[in-house]
Amino acid sequence: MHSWSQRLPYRVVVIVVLILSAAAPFLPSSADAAAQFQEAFLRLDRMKVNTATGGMVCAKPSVVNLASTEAHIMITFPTTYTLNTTAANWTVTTTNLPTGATAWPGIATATAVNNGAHTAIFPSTDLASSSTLYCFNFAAVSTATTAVAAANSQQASITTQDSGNATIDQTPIALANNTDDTIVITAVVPPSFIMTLSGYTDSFTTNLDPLSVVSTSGVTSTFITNAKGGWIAWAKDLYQGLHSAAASYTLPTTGTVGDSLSTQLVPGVEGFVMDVLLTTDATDGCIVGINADYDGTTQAQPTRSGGTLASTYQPIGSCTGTSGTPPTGTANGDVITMTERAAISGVTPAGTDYTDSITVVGAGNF
Amino acid sequence: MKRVVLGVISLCLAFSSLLGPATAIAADDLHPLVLETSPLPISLVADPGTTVTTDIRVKQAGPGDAKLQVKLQKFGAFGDQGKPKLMDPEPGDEFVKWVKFDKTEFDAPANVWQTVHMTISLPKTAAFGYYYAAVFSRVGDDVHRDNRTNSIAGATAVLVLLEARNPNANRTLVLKSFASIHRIYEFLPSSFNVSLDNTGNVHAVPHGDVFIKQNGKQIGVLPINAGGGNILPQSVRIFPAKWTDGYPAFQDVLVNGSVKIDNKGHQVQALSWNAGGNNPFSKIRMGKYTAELFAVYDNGHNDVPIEATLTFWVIPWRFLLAVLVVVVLVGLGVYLMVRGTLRRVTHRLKRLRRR
Repeated sequence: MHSWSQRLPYRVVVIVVLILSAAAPFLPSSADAAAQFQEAFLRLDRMKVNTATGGMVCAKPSVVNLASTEAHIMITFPTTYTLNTTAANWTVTTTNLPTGATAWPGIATATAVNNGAHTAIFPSTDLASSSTLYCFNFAAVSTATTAVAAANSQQASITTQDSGNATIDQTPIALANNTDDTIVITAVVPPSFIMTLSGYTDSFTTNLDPLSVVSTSGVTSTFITNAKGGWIAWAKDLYQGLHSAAASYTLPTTGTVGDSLSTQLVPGVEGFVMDVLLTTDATDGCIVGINADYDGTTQAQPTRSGGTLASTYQPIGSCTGTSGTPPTGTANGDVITMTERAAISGVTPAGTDYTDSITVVGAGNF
Repeated sequence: MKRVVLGVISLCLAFSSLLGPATAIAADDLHPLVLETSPLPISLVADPGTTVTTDIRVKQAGPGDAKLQVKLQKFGAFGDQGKPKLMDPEPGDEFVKWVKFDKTEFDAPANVWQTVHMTISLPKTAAFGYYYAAVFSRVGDDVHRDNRTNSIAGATAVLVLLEARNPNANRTLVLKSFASIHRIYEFLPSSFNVSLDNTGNVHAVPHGDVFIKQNGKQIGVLPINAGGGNILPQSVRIFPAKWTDGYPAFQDVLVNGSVKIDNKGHQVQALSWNAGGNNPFSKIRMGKYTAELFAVYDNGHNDVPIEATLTFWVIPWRFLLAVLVVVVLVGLGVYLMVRGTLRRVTHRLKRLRRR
């Protein structure tokens, strides 16, 4: 009679061993019940040493343990951290989560905090999707305090547990603390003045004509300044008229410098003026005013009117600060438009080179 | 030999044709001007016989590179508004010769700050106030143009106020007037002008407030010269103040972030009944008010107070008239109704008596 061992051929034994060996990785076992999250992080609000901090916890469950039902989320802080053991302080929120993240289901105020084990345990319900990043925030007041000394790679972990406190997923994480986690930003806004001139030439739209007053296209000047006293602009003229070298003649400017009213040109009567028009008075700033002698709108026919040009700087416009509430002296885009206007008589010498050169200077007030 | 000379000349001509124009920036290549300067204004104090320097920063915003220049002008006070008047230096202005710039023409790449050092060497005879303007402009903007075209040269000026210390410096401000634009306002704003005359020989800075009161209770404070503006010696400067805190009040009409401008180029305002705040009734402005000016200036030894008081009225007479008309009409209606009823009753009583 053969024994049991004698009846089993050695080949069968070898085959069985091989099959078991191949199938072993796919069999459930107590050793691989806990897996790592696909993704997990703990982002503390503060990294500065010895500072109270809250934080955000996010995790994406593993595929292998998705069937397990979570009942807790446990955060294990570094041993250098100090935890307030009043669980009621560890309140949570699910606002301001990262884009694409979902509020952690069933998350609520911590149920247990142990400063000896450095753990805080929060309630949770099942994390149902392995493709979802679940997140929540815990409060910063009277919860965790960072390490006393600066250090890197301080070990911590995020763990999910089932209702029997068996680990489902767990990911170790490392936290660092610095002596300071803020950057003090200082900046100086210097007093400045910006003047923009839309062009450096200004052409008459048509040839000058004894039957009409002809104007240039106009050039705008824009002012931006944080000067509390506002701004001022002056103009001076090279020829005090339109000058022709070929004709050796100057079509003279008209009126009186510094007059209280602008001058209105008459077709057929020689004259040359510059009109200054308020185009934009930017809000919340100083009040723009055009000097009366350059303000063509003071005349019945503004498109024929303007101010007398001088060889010395004459104020053409300004922006005056007032002492309202709040005081207003700054300008954020005031615009004035300068247009030259000319009239000739029937005997004005012909010439193709009539021209003038006007200098406009702007400044923040003193 | 001739062939050699001709050959050399030809080569020179060919080479020269490859070179650009003589100037760095041709006038036709110039762009619209955007100039930024900082700081502003600059106040300097120095002893006679010493040297004082200051840095002025300038930037042109392009779009291309440019060559900038700085020229020295002087300024004084213009009219009674205290606005600066820019002036060309005159032959007798020795103080202009004290000033040197470390560069007067310089390349200015777009959007790159350039710093110009301004050095003022005061002679031992220097005393009191000197007023400069450093004027920055683009080289080539003021050249002659062609047919029918004027050249417009833009520039920005940085005003520099220099005080040469002197024991005889006299800083005296005199209140020339403290006035309300109107004695009676229909609606706010109420506007005031504080006119101060600097009768001294150096510039001075006043500051203070206008306190608005009604029945002794303060209801508004209007800062005077919050910007710290100077009054040049022997000149008058007017500091305006505007009381807008209340309703009904005229306010600027805004269009796209700017004050609406009418076809005559003037700011457009409209009456606002928006009280704002939690207690709108406290902001209704009506009745007699007092404006009390309290300002001070430093005369070099101590603060000197300047005080004045005026009264003004806010009477929205058209609104009150409309209310009065409504009240009168309602009263008249009630009167006519009562009179009619009385007549009917009297008439019935008479008929009853006759029966």
